[in-house]
Amino acid sequence: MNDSDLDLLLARARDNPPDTSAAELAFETRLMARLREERAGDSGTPLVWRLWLWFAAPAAACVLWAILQPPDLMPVTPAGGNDDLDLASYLTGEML
Amino acid sequence: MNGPADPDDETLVASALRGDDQAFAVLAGRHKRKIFGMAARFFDNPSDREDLAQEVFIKAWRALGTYRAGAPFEHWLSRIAIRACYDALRKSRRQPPTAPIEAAAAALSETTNASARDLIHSGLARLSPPERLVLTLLELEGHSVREISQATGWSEANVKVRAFRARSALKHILESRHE
Repeated sequence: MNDSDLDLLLARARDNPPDTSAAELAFETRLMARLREERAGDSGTPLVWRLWLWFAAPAAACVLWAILQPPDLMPVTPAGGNDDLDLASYLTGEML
Repeated sequence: MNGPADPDDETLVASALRGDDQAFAVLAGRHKRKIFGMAARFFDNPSDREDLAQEVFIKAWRALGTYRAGAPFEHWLSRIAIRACYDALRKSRRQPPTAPIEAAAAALSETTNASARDLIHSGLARLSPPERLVLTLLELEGHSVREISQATGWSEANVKVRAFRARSALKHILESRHE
């Protein structure tokens, strides 16, 4: 097959496009239905995000609550702040 | 030509951007033949063509804000359609055409337009997605090298090289089947 044969075939194929008229019938109606679906999907937060927010919200609230607690309500370790006294007692033998 | 009751594409786009779905439906009705025609060059299955056409118009609807008034809407839509076709081609496996190529090759001597179309379609279906895209758009859909370059992001030189290789590959396929 030479180039002119191929060009001839391509020209014939170009001049004879597939008939799509049947598929085009009422396409606008189907497209508008799809568009409404898309818009409905866009109007709210996507389902995955909504689920994620639903589960993450309580955890986030707990973290926020812990951060916002006043310092005096935070638990104090028994040894906290007495290290110097304990050391002095140990060195002077009072603890022994 | 569009009369007062038949608004031009730019007016319809502006209306659609304001939320007028009916305006977008008119746009779709005006350009659906072109999109279906392009889809039919690549896909045999009517449902694949329908899916692709819907995909193109949904993408266009989403991107309407990026359309620049003054430029032909058809060209803008064509670029979206070309990208959608290419994406669909890459996703789909290269499938054997419905009609065996031997039968189509036998019909070459008959030289009817339908048999020529089937033969070309059978050959194109055996090319890689980029080769098929370029050759179909260039030879069958009448797009220019520049238009294909703009739609695909490939350089014009790259488009020409791909087209040359695709022609050679298609000739080879048709020759090997015709012998």
